[in-house]
Amino acid sequence: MIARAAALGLLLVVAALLETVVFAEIAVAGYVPAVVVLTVVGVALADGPEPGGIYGFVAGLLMDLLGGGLVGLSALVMLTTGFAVGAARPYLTGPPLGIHVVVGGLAAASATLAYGVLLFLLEPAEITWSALGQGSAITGLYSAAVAPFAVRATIMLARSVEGQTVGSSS
Amino acid sequence: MPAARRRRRSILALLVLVALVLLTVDFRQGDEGPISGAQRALGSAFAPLQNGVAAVVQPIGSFFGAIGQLGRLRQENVALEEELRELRERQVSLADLARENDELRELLGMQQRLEHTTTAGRVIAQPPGLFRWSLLIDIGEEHGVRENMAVINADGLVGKITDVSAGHSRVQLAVSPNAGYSVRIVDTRQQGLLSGRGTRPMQLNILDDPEAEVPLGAEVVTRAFEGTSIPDGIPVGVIEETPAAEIGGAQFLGVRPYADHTRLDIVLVILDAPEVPVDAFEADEPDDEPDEPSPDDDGEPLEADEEAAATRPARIPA
Repeated sequence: MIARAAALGLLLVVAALLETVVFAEIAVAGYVPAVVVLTVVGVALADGPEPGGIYGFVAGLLMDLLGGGLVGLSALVMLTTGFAVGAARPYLTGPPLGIHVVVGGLAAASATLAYGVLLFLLEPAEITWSALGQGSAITGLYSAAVAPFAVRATIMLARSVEGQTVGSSS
Repeated sequence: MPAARRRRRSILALLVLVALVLLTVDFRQGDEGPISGAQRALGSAFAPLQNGVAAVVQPIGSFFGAIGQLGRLRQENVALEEELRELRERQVSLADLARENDELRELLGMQQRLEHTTTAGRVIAQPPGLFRWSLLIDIGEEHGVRENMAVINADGLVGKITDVSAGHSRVQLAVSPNAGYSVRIVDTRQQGLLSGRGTRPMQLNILDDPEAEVPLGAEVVTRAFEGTSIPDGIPVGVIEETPAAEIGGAQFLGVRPYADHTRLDIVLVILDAPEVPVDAFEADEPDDEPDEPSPDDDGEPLEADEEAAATRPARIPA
């Protein structure tokens, strides 16, 4: 369990670096792919709703603490994203690559949209609906392009590390 | 439902509760609470990692970024060539104006514009996720950077330093909804308080002479703050919206910032702008006179003498 937590923790740090530093250099219209959300999707697809939700909470909390925004907002959004993707897992059929692209893109767009809407409710002056729509769409598409690598790598890592799934009780 | 699964769902429910509590506490405490302290600590711990990765990937990213922007660069090149041609045509008259300007400066005994000492910093990490309005630069206390110093680029004001560690600093962008600056309009000399509104145009609250018309396209520059180190006269942006609302006699105008906050690479921190003491002008005021309005006030016009108001710094919480 410790090895698994360490591996996923390392994955999270790498994903955060990719999102904030590496992809910031090749942003599209100022937007970057939601790499951290894609790792949440990967864990949820590999392990199911509860581990996905717990990993999502930790990932969101890290992004909240790094980002300087309201702490707890991303944690809530990513927890929900991880749980929802994990819960939808039994109903996803088709080639894995297609699932990764579609689910990764939709999850990234939905998480961005949900974060923006919650932020709008808390601090209405921060965003416009057009920026939110544009940001969600571009982030979703860009994330879908990255998903085959990010989601697949996460699933492989989650399955390769010996031990129990994230959030298991013993 | 198996017991293990029930237990994990209970953990999830607990985490939702934790997230909501964190959200509420952070929302109420603003920048002063322990959660903000944790944000600063983690940011400082993570910054060297980000800096190391940035040093490796930025040259590669710049190369690919340049390829991606080839079309735009071509268009810019055409536009710049056209602009150069026009500027050459106007060169003679500009030289005349410059000479006249110099003479006027001498005649009026005005001091030359202050030159500030700056240090350059590279943006090493954008904020994670959308709709966050701060970034990290690779200079800190070791380079003379302190909190509240102004951050600029070639276009104008970018923001100000809010957190400093030994080798890194966090810049709160001027468009941040938490940012507020005392400014003046160059053409009309009206003073106001400028607030960031994220992706929306910045909001200018005219404090004096709210009835006077403000021309679209008028330039907005900073005024010195009490308690901060923002120098006077840094270009901020231009008026692009007529009054959208009038509350309590105050005009609210939309200001488009000069600096493009989505495309920042190298920025300059102004090191030697003297911090204006908070009580610098209290000796001139009767003790029972109320303070000037802060951004949180209701925007009533200043009642201070116009000339004095034009020269003394505004009071804005740092």
